[in-house]
Amino acid sequence: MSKAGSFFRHKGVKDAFRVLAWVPVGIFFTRHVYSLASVTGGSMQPTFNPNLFSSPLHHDVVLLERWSVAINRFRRGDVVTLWSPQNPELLATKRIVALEGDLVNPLPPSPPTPIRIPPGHCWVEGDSKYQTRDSNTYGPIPLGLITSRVAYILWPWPRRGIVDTDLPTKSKGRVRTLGQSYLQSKFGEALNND
Amino acid sequence: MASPYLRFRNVFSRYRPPPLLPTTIRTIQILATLHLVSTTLVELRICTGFSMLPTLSQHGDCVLVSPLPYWSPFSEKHTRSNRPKRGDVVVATSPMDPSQTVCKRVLGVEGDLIEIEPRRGNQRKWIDNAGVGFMVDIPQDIIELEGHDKDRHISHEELGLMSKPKRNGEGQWVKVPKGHVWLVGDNLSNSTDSRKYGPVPIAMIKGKVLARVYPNPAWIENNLRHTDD
Repeated sequence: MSKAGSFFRHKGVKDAFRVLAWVPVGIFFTRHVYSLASVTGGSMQPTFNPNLFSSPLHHDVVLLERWSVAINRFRRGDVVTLWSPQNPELLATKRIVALEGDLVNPLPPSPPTPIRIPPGHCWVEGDSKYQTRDSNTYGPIPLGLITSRVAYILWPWPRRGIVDTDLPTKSKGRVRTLGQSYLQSKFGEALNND
Repeated sequence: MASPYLRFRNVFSRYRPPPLLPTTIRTIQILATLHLVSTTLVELRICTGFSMLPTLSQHGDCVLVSPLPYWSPFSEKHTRSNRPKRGDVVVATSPMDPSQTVCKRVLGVEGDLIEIEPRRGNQRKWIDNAGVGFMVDIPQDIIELEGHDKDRHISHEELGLMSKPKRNGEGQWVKVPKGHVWLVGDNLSNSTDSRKYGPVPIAMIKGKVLARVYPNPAWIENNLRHTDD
């Protein structure tokens, strides 16, 4: 019996390999199905970290849903994590406000001319009214920068639950989706415009 | 003394398929390991299309791709040592369609001034509409900008001063913003690249193409050269 063969006869080594065999499966699950993260920063107040400035060390823990991004399923109103276009090592959390083809009226610091989102891009904004660096600063971003959708708040316990997918008041009325202007001209006030 | 047929039948009839559950688990583990290796270490991919002639042929070349050259273990460090360099052939997610990947060469890194040749017709319409933040007209305007912080986006007032009506036949200059690269295919006449969709954020880059494996094995080289102008 060779030396290598007798090494593998030990029960401990076999058990170690049995455990190690699950590690790539776990890594696949964390990267492509679900994972956990904590939200730092106050650009998504009051959705996440509403008390960040009074208790700066308490961050919200959220569940990230990665399979919806893997199949390219993006909806307006989704809160997503994305690589920042200005700093590729920084992961930011913002809300998708408009998808390709929509007409967006941006807020300062962007010039106020309406922007049509190119194919494969989207417009993201932070929920905070006061301080957020989002598409109003860097323009529409490619959908390839989005890594996951924020699905649930897990901590703190009183605010646990599904993350809301309605647009905040600062984004309502500033997005005209593709085809909406045509429908408006045909059916007028009968349409609910938001 | 049994005939070969009888011996075969005895062996064959005793065959039982392997147990289902351990086999499924083992298959899942092996597939997950292969996926992990292909996304972290190296991967063999087939690249088709005309845009990278003559480096890669249009019939489909098998190439060796690896994300390791651009992997930095400490994401808090701002050393920028593992960014794509000029002349690298990279594989990136397409800015026009997140389900596709493109294979192009990095021509400009952040801060570079790129001259775009005048295009026929309105093939550059997209970059004119969406690229308001980084299009500049003449290099002289850049010299005035040099006094400011180079990293911030060009402001609205400066855009008003700089943008002049574009005439056919006049080249345009682009300053690649922070955190972006300028991708161009080797076959300039037939390539949809940054000349259409503008600078690409570095986070879209998935790996560096190291070598062409089949049918003509060769290392992909950086064939850009400095010229003294």
